[in-house]
Amino acid sequence: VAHSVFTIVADVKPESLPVLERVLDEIKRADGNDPRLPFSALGGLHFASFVIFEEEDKPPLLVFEHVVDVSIKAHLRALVDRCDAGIDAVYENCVGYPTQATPIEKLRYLRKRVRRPQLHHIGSAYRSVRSIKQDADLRERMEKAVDGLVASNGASKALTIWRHLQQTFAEDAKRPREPKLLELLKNWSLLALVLVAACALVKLLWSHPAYLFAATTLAFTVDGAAIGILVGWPAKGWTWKTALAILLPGLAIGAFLGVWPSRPAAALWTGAMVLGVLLLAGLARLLSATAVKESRGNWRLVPFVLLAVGASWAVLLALGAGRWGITLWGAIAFWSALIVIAALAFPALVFVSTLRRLPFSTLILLLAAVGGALALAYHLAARYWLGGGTPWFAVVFFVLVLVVGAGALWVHKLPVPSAGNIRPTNEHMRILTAQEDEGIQNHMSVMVRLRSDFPGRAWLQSSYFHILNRVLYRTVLPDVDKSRLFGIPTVHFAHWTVLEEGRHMFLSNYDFSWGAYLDDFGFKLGNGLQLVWGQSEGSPGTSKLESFKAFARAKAAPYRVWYRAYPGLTALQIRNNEQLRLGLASRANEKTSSQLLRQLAGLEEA
Amino acid sequence: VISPPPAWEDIQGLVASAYAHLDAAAYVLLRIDDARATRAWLGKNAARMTTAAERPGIEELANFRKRGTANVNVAFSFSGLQALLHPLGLAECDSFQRPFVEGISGSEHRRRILGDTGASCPQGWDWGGGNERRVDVLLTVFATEASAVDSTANAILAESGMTVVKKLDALSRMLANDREHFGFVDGISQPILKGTPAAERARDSRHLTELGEFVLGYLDEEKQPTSGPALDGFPAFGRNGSYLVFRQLRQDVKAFWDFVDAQTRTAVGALDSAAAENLAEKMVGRCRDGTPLVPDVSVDNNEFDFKNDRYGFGCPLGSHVRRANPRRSIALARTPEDKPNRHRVLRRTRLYGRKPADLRSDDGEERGLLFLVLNANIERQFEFVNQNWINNSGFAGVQDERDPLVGRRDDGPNLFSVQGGPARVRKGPLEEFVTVKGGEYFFLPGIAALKYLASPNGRAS
Repeated sequence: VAHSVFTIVADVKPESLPVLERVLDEIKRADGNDPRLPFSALGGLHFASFVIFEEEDKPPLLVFEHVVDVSIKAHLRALVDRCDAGIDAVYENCVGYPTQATPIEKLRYLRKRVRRPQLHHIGSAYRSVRSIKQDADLRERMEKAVDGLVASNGASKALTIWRHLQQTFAEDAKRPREPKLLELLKNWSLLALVLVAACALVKLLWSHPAYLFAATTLAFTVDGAAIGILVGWPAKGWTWKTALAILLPGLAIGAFLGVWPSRPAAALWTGAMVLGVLLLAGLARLLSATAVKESRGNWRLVPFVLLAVGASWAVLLALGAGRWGITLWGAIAFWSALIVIAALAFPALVFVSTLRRLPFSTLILLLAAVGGALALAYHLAARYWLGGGTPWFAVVFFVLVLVVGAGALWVHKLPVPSAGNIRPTNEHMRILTAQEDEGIQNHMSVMVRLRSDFPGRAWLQSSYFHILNRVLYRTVLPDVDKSRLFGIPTVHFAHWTVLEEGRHMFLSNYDFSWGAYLDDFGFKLGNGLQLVWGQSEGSPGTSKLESFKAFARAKAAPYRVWYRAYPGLTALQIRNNEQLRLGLASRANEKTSSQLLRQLAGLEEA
Repeated sequence: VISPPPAWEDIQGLVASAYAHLDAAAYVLLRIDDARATRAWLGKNAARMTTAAERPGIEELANFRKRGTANVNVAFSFSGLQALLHPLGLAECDSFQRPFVEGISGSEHRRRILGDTGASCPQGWDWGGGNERRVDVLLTVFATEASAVDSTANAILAESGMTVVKKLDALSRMLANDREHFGFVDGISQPILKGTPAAERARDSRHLTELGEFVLGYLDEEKQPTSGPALDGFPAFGRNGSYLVFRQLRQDVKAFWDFVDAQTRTAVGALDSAAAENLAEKMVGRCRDGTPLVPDVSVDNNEFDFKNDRYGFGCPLGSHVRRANPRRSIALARTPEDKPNRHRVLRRTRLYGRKPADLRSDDGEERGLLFLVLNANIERQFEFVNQNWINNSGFAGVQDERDPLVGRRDDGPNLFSVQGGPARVRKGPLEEFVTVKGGEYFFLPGIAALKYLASPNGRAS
């Protein structure tokens, strides 16, 4: 099952705003069953909402959010077919809507205003509304059955209870798993393609040192500059630190990759100079370092990173026609480079964000250990497979540069743009909170404006969102991190959309309170948040969580209508319920059945 | 960044001490009739308020008892401050926390998250939370015996320009035997303020908490300075102050024990008192004597966490103790980085009403808790605990459950699961064993701020 997450964005005729508000209010009060807009009759609709964003000297913006498990095309058609009256009632208050139009014209109107998010998170990946509801119903019946079994004192063993459940609910166990192979391929294919292309490029340029130097230096410098702009560096003016942080890694990596194959000695000297500067920068930073937050690491991703390294090595091996040394060299270079990119570009990457929170000394030790291991591996490879000839210390040196470079960058604190102290008014907070915590799920809708100091900012932002979406959100999150948003298990669907005129919109359907949600984000993803929100006008940065929360509140708009297909379920329960159903079909033993029964009582996830 | 040294002599004593050495207490809820008289009264009595500097050390406790001193503190609701500081500018209003300005029953949302619905709805309260039940000032009086409390209160309140809305007498602690009315030892877990002698004695405690979590003007757990309300004439008005939450919680002791009895009857309908006792302890999350239910607890009965009891087989996931302070264990969000001590409150709760002679019979008397807590951020502390833990129906992955003692009840199944092998046992529907009878948010100013309130420059007098 593939989800479509999108919005329909339309300008409201200012004079029609009161009428529109009244219509939406009626739809809201019908609770999804308004005859004009019967959300519950639309197949596969998980969440839907209407939000009106109002800005000074702009027409109000009507945003119609959809999260469905059918294609956009099919959903829009169903919308026009079944909700004709509702669509008319809402959109005749919007600019350019053709009244008395044919369904085809209406469809065209809507399609033209569809905006897909650049970045979106899906908490219940591959799950359809139907199946989520069936699972919840099944769980309810299982709970009752277990109540009966426990009350009758008929069972003292988990396996006995579970076997009984398996018999009672044999029909439910037969429900086919939701197909996900196609979706999996679609999600992972682009990442795989990028990896292969990168490896091929390294291989191709290997015999042309000058190009390699130019290409890598350029790539890293551009990357550094882009990130700098994203997190808001130009806001404070260009300091020597900023320039160094962008230029040095580019130069260092470029110099090594470019010069090394032909003139190792020159590479060493270049490296030594860069290293010296980096060391000094790192040392200065270390001496002035404030306490780095302590935290437990998230090591579950390590096997996957290793797997990826191995896979790329295999690709390079194939490309390099069996020359182990060259391919190993390429793999080291590529993956070290990727780590540096990650450090610079994707602080939100789970693995890296974990490292980022480690104490500085541990971090350096860790990176040195990894570097040392790689160097040793290369040394052995060079000696036994290439017939010697490569001075091993040079390799160690190369790795050290990367290590210290990465370290120095890591501790280079992201500058916080000078912020206006934007706070919500009490009246605004009253409106927002009035519609919160009515059930266990909540909705959040925020719109900010990107700063206009740099013309390419919106483009840059959406490009990075696209990359993040492809290499992370659509691959790692659903499949590796069990649909958690960087370990946060409470988000059903969240999406970020960069709209016209530098508007940046965030919509989220999540569990529990707004405060807990923002705390989760702030504590887990401080740097990621900075990357996403740092470039918006008035953002106070994320280092002071409470100021950031006030900013987010001030920029939020209340929903006018919010439909949710399964209002009583948390994202965690949806996953637990699926586990229970799959468990029915599995071959159970005492251990697995007591594990499954624990899930009934509310499993506390590891 | 280092927190400034605590100015104990400017902080009201309630922050530093629960006055445990003073057995008797009264909470006097007042309404200001004549602001001018009240200001004059404050001018006379501001210095009379007990400060944290007078906090007795353990060795002095015996002397304190003999001396029979009465300790007095005073706090103001937003309407109280408005009366004294009239007119309050918009920016001045905004510098107070929103929950305080709106009041404890100020919005439908707040009533939802605090569970003030149904029988706990503010319409049915005896005091607080509304126009006709408005409370402006809270005066707390602690002394060795009830007569001293009464005489002190009467003496102090002479010519105050205020009328008494309600005077709540707390049950003497000696009589209460440290157990609340349901029969459990209460008030075990408290944050330990950094910078106090207690913190010196418990250097490794998990309960060590920055002063800024409770007193404005100091660093909080995130090492950020907590800033308080600012007045035009006195920008440091908030310094050394604290937000105070006061609620009168009625306990229905008979209903609680009737419930556990009914839920644990044997197959033939006979009473099973051991099972009933066990269920009651599971609901609370501690034994009646306060012993934690988690396995492998060391000597100290409060330095445990739930690591050894991940699945709640000892202390149920949804039990009161686990919800009120999950000690880093919740799956609500897997966030080890979230410091648990960002959501702590200083508890200064006492009991009211006579102890029940028999837990299972209804003597027609009202009894319960005078729930009083202090925090620096009402939303992040008191309200967060109620919203995300106590009243969260999906807490730690449970379904359709809220706190079995104090949680909100609705038209859902209102269940409580006791985890254990081979499968959990669900109990319910739970009733409202605890109902709210009154409540308000107050501000407990520092001594300097009290003096300013007595003569606010530039205000209409």
